[in-house]
Amino acid sequence: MNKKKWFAFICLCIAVDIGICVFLGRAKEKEINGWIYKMTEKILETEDKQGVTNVLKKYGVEEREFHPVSITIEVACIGLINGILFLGISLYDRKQQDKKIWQMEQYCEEILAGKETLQLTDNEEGSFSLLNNKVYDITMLLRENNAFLEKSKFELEQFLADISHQLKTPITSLHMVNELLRMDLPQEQKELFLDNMQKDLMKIEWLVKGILNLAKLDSGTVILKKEEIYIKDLLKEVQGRFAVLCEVTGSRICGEGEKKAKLWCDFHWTKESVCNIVKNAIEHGATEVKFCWEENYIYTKLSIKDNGEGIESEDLPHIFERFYKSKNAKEDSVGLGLAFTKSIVKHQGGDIDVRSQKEKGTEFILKFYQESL
Amino acid sequence: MEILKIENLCKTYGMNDTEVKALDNINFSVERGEFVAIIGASGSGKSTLLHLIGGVDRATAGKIYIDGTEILNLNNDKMAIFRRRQLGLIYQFYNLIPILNVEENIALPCRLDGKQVEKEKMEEMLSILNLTNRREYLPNQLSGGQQQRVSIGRALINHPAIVLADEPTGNLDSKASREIIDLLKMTNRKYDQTILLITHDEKIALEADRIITIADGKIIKDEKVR
Repeated sequence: MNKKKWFAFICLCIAVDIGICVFLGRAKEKEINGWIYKMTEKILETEDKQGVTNVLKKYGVEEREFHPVSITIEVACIGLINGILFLGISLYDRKQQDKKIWQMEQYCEEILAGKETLQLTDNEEGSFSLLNNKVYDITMLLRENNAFLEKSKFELEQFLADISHQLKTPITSLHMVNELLRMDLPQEQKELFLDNMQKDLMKIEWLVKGILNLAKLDSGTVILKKEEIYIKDLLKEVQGRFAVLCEVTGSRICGEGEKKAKLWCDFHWTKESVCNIVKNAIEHGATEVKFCWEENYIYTKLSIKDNGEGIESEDLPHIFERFYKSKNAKEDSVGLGLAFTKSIVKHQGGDIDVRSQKEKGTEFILKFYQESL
Repeated sequence: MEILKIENLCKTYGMNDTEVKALDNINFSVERGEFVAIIGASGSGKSTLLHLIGGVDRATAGKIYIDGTEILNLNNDKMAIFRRRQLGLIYQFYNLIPILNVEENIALPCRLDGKQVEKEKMEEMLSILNLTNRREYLPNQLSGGQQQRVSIGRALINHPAIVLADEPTGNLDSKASREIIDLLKMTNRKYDQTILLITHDEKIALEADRIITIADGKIIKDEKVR
């Protein structure tokens, strides 16, 4: 029962109390009048009784035996009636509460039975309504979790199908070459076939490695560490990793940003994910890969900009998808590099975005939200 | 999970000759966790749409479902309670209570429900908003950006189903604007908070995952940008 109803009830009780007092008061009044009559009678014993008593009767004072109701009984009367009213209202309130609890029980049972249910929120004041809201929130959470599990299962099935498809091709090729090598062939042809075998084996190795990494992340077997690293150190490591490649292609990796800018992440895995981006950039014609970073209280932002050949706008929404290869992808690319990068960033509570213009270059923006949040 | 569903929504002002169709048959829905921007020129009907969703105005026709509740069925009292518990509103002009300090302004929706905000929850909220050192300040002692941050805190404290933001950066300089949008985006990414942002600035709209363009009371474009 809300405050308004209680207020109305108390007003009612007070009204009843006043009513009882007025009633008892009037009864008392009659008693007192009766006593006055008797007294007047006594005083006027010798006089003309009839005339005087007639006057008294005119004003409602009549003969009566004097039996005043004691104060104790009056108070007890009022107390009793109030008590009954309060008891009544409490029982009524209790019944309402029980009804609400029963309704919630029904609701929970329907949820457990997996049925689609109606709203539970009733938008009223009071703590019971808030409880309703919380139960509803829990229901929604359960439903969302279930939907997420279904989606995950479906995605896993897709992923497994993709994997087996990707592996099939090089394995078939290996079988073929193996058969061919059993035949009597000139040495140069054999060399050619052996080279092909080497390529296929490397491809399988890359695939398996990439898939295992992604699977480890997805299933949570990899525990990503939380280390405080300076971004400039990350840049140095990346520069070191690609030193040879840069020499060969004539490209350079540079960066600018606050010396003290920090990032809370797993150094090893974050380095791997950044390297994927840089590798793609250099392989697609970038002569300069620039790292820019900044840190504020919401996130630390790392932008990796290159001046390579850019990404087609139709490919742009799909580049983070697993096994996605754009038309001008390198032949031995597997399509897992950026998917892996995105997974790493997301698992560390971050966000990745990409902007690109054909012939001008590409910019990857990684945002890592601050750990203290 | 659909958290907002608008069906054939219409809002007409005036009658006969002076009739103005602010919204004409609007239909769209928003999933939980989406960050949607509604963009349009002045007078296109976007503020009207927000007011209808927020329940401060009644539609002429159509239905609005928020988290399963059809809000046009609710009377004023129930709508006020619904708004307090399930919606977060952020305005261009902050609308903070001038006699309450930062902490009290943020805790307002909870206090109206008769609840106290747990200490850790308040601490977490203040640190997200970067206002831990200013918890005792009154609104008139804060800059525009800080006031808007308090506004965001107030909108988020009850973990509403959906946060409605009406030109939240309209009154701020570019640095403060950037901060506010980053903050909203962070709550969307990290806490899966559904956000509906109204703006006339395309740059801000591009920060969202989905942009709905409104003109003359109709939706003319609805595309996912991310």
